[in-house]
Amino acid sequence: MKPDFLELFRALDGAGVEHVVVGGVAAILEGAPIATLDLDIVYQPDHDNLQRLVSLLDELEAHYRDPAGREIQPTLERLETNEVNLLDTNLGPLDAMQRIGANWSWDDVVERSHVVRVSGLEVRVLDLASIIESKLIANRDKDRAMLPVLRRTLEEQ
Amino acid sequence: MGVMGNQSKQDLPPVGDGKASEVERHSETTAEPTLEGAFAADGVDLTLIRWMLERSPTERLRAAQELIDATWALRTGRET
Repeated sequence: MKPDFLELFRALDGAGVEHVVVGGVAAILEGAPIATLDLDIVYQPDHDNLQRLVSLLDELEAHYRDPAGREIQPTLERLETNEVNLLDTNLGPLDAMQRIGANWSWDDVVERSHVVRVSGLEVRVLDLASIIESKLIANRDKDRAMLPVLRRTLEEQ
Repeated sequence: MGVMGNQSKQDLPPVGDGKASEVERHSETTAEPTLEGAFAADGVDLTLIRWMLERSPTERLRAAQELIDATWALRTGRET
């Protein structure tokens, strides 16, 4: 499905899922002129929040982007167990994670985040300096390619 | 479901109003454009970064979404 970031924000907000936006969309909200197709979030790992997230994912007809092409739905157990969940939804790709960067947990990510207003919604995003740090730690080609733009954006902020 | 929809285009404000100020219009008639200072030493387009930073988070998201919408329309051969 075609990604619709604002509708995904609305869905997460409407379902009361505690999360922090990280990755490319966070970088865009922080002012970096980059392109991305998926929404990356870190979710709060408490049981109640996971239940809200599972219910929402069911509503969005989410399934794992499985390389073997299997139809695998996210469950409470999978979201508790898997630190990275690469999902497709009827509002576009959604990567739901428990940890990023240098094994940053929910508390670490929240500490490095702030709230921005997007079309009337309060959206919590990872700050640009931490996005850069997480890309440095990930050290993949695609992350390294993005670093010059992210660093210059941070300098210009 | 019940979460699907396409309200985003209606709710997001336009990116810029397309109008130049008096000073900008005057400058357009007397000055020549320059690339000096447009690019960082590593080749990053600083003008594009400044364009984004001048916008609100809502407008930045809209710009990103419009890029996706246009790309999707090309991929599927349809208007969005």
